[in-house]
Amino acid sequence: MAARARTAVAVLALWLALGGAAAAQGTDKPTWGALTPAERQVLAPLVHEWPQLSRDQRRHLIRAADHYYKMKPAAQARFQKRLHAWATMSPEQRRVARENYLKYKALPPKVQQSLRQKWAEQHRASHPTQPPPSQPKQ
Amino acid sequence: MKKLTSPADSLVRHLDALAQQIPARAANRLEHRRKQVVYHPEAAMRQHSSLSLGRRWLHQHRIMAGSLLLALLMGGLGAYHLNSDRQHTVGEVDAALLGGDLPPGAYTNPQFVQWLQEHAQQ
Repeated sequence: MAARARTAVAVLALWLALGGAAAAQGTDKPTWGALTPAERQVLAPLVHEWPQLSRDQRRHLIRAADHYYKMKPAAQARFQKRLHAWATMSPEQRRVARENYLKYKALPPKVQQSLRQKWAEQHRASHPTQPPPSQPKQ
Repeated sequence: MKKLTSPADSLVRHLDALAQQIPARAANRLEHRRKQVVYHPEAAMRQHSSLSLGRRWLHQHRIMAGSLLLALLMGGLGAYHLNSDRQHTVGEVDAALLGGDLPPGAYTNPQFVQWLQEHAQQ
């Protein structure tokens, strides 16, 4: 009886370990219906694209949506406006964008401002009829 | 013949009755095994020894087997938490990037990336 109990415990431990590893790999894709009402509201611009998004993309977006309510209203508006373009980027483009964003944020504020101005000038030159994509901080 | 009356005698009677109910095939196997043990005890012991080898190994190495299971369990849980932390960090960066001053496309634009590298080197 004790041997059977030990075997049961061992099998349970193995199952938990393998289950943990499987969960770490992530085998489930969160469906739109599985999101909370708050997450659905934040990610509403992606409602039609959601079924096509990869598992990782969905999870990252859900994590990003968790931070949405901590943002200022202007940042929230930018967040939602850019969701569609962000979702259409390739995983590699998103990886590069994250990497360069972190490099940009590591620069001193004055340098960041200079880069924003350069970006706005370049955008004005290449799209003379369109407003700049963002207003640099003064 | 003296009649059996004690509890031990009752037990013997009961066991005898049960022995009569053993199927012929099982009875033959038991008889064969009894003869093997009586006439060839060493061979029987060797066979018994090989049958219980796996159980004995498990018994002797239970600490190692337990440690292996524990390591598997810890590894699985560790991998889960690492992945969860990574997703949390990526989500945080994505949120800041999407709500930031520059559009996400800027960070993949070759010209902007070149400026970034120039300034990062200074």
